[in-house]
Amino acid sequence: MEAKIGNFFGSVGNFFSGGDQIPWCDGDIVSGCEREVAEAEKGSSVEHKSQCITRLSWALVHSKRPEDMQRGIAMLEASLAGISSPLQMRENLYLLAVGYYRSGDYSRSRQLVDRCLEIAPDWRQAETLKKAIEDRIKKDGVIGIGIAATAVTAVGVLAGGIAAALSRKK
Amino acid sequence: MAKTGNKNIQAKLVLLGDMGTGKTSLVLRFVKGQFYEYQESTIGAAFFTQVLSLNEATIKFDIWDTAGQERYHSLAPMYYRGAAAAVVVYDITSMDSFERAKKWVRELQRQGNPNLVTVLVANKADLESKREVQNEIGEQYAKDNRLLFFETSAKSAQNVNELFYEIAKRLAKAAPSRPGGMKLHSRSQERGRRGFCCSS
Repeated sequence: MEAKIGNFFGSVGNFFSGGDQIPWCDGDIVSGCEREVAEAEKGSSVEHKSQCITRLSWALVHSKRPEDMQRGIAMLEASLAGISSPLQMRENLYLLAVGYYRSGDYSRSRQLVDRCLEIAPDWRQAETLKKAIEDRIKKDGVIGIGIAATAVTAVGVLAGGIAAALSRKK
Repeated sequence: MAKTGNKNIQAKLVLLGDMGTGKTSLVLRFVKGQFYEYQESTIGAAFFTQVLSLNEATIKFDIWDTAGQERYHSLAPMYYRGAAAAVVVYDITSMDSFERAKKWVRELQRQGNPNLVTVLVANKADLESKREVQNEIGEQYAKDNRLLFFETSAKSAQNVNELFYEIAKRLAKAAPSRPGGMKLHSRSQERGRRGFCCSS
């Protein structure tokens, strides 16, 4: 019984804190990836350079800092046009979807993850992200309804109060 | 009926190994009881949770399933840093993957957490006819490096639950000394916290 109660409160806690299954990335990892890219720019092979850029974009969209996320999104959007391999395309689309999800643009994120699943229909990592997006949209909807209901109640109480005051004046 | 002990342990577990060795398949078999013949390669890392109840404790695993592709190698420290357990996977049909597993073991030894529970896993045991790495070789390497050793098959489910139960038992035993990656909650502490639904 106690365990069930614990699970219930745990899930309520998750509801409000928005616990999802996508990793966060520490600042030192982002810095490390930036150093790698800077080194690669000095004269590495195209292949190595592209690997460093992939790592950096991964780190940026998983970062806790909004400005990193935005930079990651911009990098990935810029590189989309030049991609020919489906494997690289699904990787890019997935990372973009993570970036938009983390920055709160859930509809764009869902579009991108759907494109991922067109390329790789049974890809569990993308399915997990899609579920996280849908949960978040649902959650925001519930919270939105709650806020709206509270506002309506407040307006009702206010209107009732005014009406009561007016009737007392008469 | 086995009674749950009074320890609640949250433990971070990381899976490492070459691309295509079956890391994601092992986790999916353990967490969801599923196996897919074809698995898309993991990007960066994927995260799973699973709870195991032992007589002496309840272990909540936070499982980080890392990408095997070389290009994501430098992100790995982010996942094994502060882990309580590491599972290094190789594929018995690939000697290259075994050599790569040895490199992971050396890297884990260098990062220097003496309490880290490290397991060497020889996966794809169902592909006996294509075996390149003999069981004794893996077992001997594990013994020499003081690692736990399991031969598994995510496909047939052979030894998958046993692997995670053994890790859980080791962590439960080590819990009083609290190695990195483990949080210990007593039931009484928990009871106090549960009154507040939104405390994280």
